[in-house]
Amino acid sequence: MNFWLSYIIVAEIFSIAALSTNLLVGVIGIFSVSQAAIMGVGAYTVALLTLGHVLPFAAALVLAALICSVLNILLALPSLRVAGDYFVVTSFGSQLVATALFINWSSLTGGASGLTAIPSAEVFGFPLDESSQFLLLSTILLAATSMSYWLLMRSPFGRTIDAIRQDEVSVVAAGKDVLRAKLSVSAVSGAYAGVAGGLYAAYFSFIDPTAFDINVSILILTMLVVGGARTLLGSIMGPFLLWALPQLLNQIDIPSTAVGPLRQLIFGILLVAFMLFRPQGIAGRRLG
Amino acid sequence: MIAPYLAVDAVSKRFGGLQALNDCSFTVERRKTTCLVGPNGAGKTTVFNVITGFIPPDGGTITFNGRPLNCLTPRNIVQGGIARTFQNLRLFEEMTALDNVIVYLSGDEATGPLAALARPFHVNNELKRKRARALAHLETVGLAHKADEVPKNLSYGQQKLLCIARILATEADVLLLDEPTSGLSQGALSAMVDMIHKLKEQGHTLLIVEHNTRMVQRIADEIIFLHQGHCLAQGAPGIILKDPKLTEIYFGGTV
Repeated sequence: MNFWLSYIIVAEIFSIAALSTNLLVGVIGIFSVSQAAIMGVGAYTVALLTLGHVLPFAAALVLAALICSVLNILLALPSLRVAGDYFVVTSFGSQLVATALFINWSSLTGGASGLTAIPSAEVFGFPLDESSQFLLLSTILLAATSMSYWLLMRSPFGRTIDAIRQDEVSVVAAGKDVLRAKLSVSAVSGAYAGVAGGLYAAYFSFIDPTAFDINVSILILTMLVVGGARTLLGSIMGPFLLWALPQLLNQIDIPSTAVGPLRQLIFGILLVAFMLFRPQGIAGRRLG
Repeated sequence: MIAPYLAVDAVSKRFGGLQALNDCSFTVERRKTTCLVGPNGAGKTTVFNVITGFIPPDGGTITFNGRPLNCLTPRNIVQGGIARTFQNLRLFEEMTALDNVIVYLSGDEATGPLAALARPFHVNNELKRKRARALAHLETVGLAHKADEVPKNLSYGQQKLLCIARILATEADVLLLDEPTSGLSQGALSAMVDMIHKLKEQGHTLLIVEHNTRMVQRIADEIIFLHQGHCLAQGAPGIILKDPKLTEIYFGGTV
């Protein structure tokens, strides 16, 4: 696996996941910490469908996006009744339940060992075994999700969802359908996370519950905070910058057992530092 | 007998131990400016919340143009022709004045998320039309030159005018203004009074919460006097404001 190609592919996959979180957390203000769980469902869906030769990769990815759309709507439903900080706790619970299912529903998910030998991506009969070939796919899908995000945000609907975060009561007074807007955003956000998860499974050929646990949800949020919420550029810059960190740590001569904790420590410090000194991130607008 | 345009009939609302509205009844005539007056805590803003569907009444009925409003959502009520402003403005602080008005524009059926993704050119044209419509509403309130400013760069008076531009964008006929003149400088006050007269000339029906009795005399065709959630009197300003009993209540006396 070419080092740099691999870095770009994974950063692109996380950029799609960050766009998903950006729509939900940054734009409309549904503060979810369970986006890795949705991504995981996308990953397991693609893995199971392609491992069992039920569907080819492309169809499995579309189905994963649809399933994750519906699931994200269901997980966002409490946000219609539970406001702000309380929803964080609700979504934290959703994330824990998802991880418990990934671990314990072992007949389906392979349990803690995960699923291995997931077939590599194949689009219209063309295998994408090489990193360079997969890069083309991940770049096209990042471009497509970025384009859809841009189209959504520049439309009048984009203004409505931006307004909901700023003052939901005022949007209700405008006669807008806040419920429909929230569910629509949850659906699009879920589809993005499903695509990110599906790409992850096909690229690594191996998934396990730790790839989609609460740490990953927080990692995606950190990427968004560092890159900058509510902007397209911020959702892409964050993953590229933060994913560079583990690559750099791998180049330094430190014990391999220290790399993981050190990475977590740096991510944590970055998150706190950005929230304190530059809450709008590098390219974004202020959260909250 | 012609049914009143907007009628609040025996409406009551209790918040825990507080009876905010108590058998409250009044009517609002079409194309008239009606002011809701009364001491603090009389239930004026609660009346607004109940009429616009933000708070369901415990009892009583509200009818608009002969149709009951009780079971409608705020969205249905705005689309039906009643829009409101807020005492604390509730502007979208991170958006320009123009975008504040765009969010309030009526008719967003063709510009939902699916349309945004599947019909980008149509949505682009729709956005251009919406910008033009929103700009026209800003022109009506004299803020077209501030279209690209965020609310914090506007004076308080301009922010209040922006609130009016927003509810004009809903195309509602009945406009409920919650303390539109409070906290305004003399110049801004005159601009707001002119604006209220202009809205009436345009054919709008206005229901206004107003504390300043001199202002009420300048703008009101009719006054509704609320006290302890109950409508004590309704009539012409010349009669209500000269009633010694009501004046005593309003300025701190007892019934």
